[in-house]
Amino acid sequence: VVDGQTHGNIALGVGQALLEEVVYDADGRILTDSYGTYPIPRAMTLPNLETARTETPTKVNPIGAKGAGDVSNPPVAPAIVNAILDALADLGVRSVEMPATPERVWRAMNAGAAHAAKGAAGKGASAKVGARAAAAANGAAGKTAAGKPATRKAAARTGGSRS
Amino acid sequence: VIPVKFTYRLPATIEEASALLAGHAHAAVLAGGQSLIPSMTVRRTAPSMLVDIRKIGGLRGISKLPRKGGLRIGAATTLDEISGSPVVAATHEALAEAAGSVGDPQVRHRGTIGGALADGHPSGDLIAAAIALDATVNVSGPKGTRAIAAADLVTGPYATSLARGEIITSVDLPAAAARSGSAYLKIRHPGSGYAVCAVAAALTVGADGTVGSVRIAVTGAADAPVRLGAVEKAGVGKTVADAAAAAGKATTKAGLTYRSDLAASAEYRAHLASVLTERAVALAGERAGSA
Repeated sequence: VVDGQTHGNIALGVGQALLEEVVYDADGRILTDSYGTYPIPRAMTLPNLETARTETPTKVNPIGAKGAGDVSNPPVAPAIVNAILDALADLGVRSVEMPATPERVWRAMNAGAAHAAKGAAGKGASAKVGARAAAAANGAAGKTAAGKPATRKAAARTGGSRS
Repeated sequence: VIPVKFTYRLPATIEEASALLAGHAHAAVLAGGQSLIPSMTVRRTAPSMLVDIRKIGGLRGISKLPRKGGLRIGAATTLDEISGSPVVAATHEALAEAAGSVGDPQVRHRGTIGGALADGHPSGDLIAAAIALDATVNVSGPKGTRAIAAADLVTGPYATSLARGEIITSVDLPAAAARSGSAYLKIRHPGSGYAVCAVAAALTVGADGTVGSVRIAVTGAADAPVRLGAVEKAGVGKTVADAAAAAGKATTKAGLTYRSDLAASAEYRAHLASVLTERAVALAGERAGSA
């Protein structure tokens, strides 16, 4: 039961970090009213998960039980977003809004590269940074379509950092 | 919930089906039902008669065309049968890849190539591959049969050049030339599975390693799937690598009006079209070289 809860919470966190967003039109009508427009993680888009747990019974009730449901959700989205920012750090990307869709990541990379190019212009390094950004943006188009690389990395971190 | 009443007919012949469609103002063809039923569910369409063509013989299967070579794919052939066909994959890679990229396995086991083409979806996968592979769509209607070039089939969002009463019966793919290859590359929406943007490319490579002819179609990017003539010209006569780079660059000047919606902005779609075109040409060229 605990493993299932943990898997479910990781899936929720992946959705929050990469996919899910409620959008309304100007009249307040919801535009994301189906799974076609409001994507959630599916079995085929999630990586295999490895989880580990430590058991420290509480002393404040007779059977030592603690809640083990939602506690595994909060670290997931920050882990994924931190993984994205870590991967893009050399482009000067400092933040990306959730859900970090491929388009948002692409825009962040372009903005980061432009910012870095501006800062480095005096040192004559702008061309190099620009080329790196262009190549990276190219890669982002195909590889982050299902958010897989970021998801894998984040899932590994989430599993490993629990203590 | 399907709130509108409709009558249901199950004709035994294509002529009977055409007559039913021609004689009824709001009739729709039911084949795999994978576009029609969801569309009825959200009330985008409300046909008052469904003409089920699944009992009509001779519409399903993949065969070799006797005279000119090439393949004939029956309209009721499922997308799963096409994506899993070694015959299609050997010579018309882009079509197998496009069929395999649709929805999920359940959808591909029911959805048909005829239905996918007749739907006229602005992000249709099969139509892009059909345009790049220079396919011909055979239809049967009240006035007899005719052939439509794939590039002339879809005329706008959910609009096709099919006349009232006309039903797609098969799709003909010309025989693949020597040293030819094709590819279909798609960025899939994580919710709907439809193409945010996808590109199909088919080309031949000469003995000297340069691109002889190339056909490129893009889907999901604009109001309708469209062939990119100007982009094709940019690639001809160059090595595969140079042709891929030139075609990718040329998409920015192809005169396309990119769509902007919840899935992606026009600006991002333009970026995807360029990147996917470059990769599709490169992959098709690689396959042509090893064919």
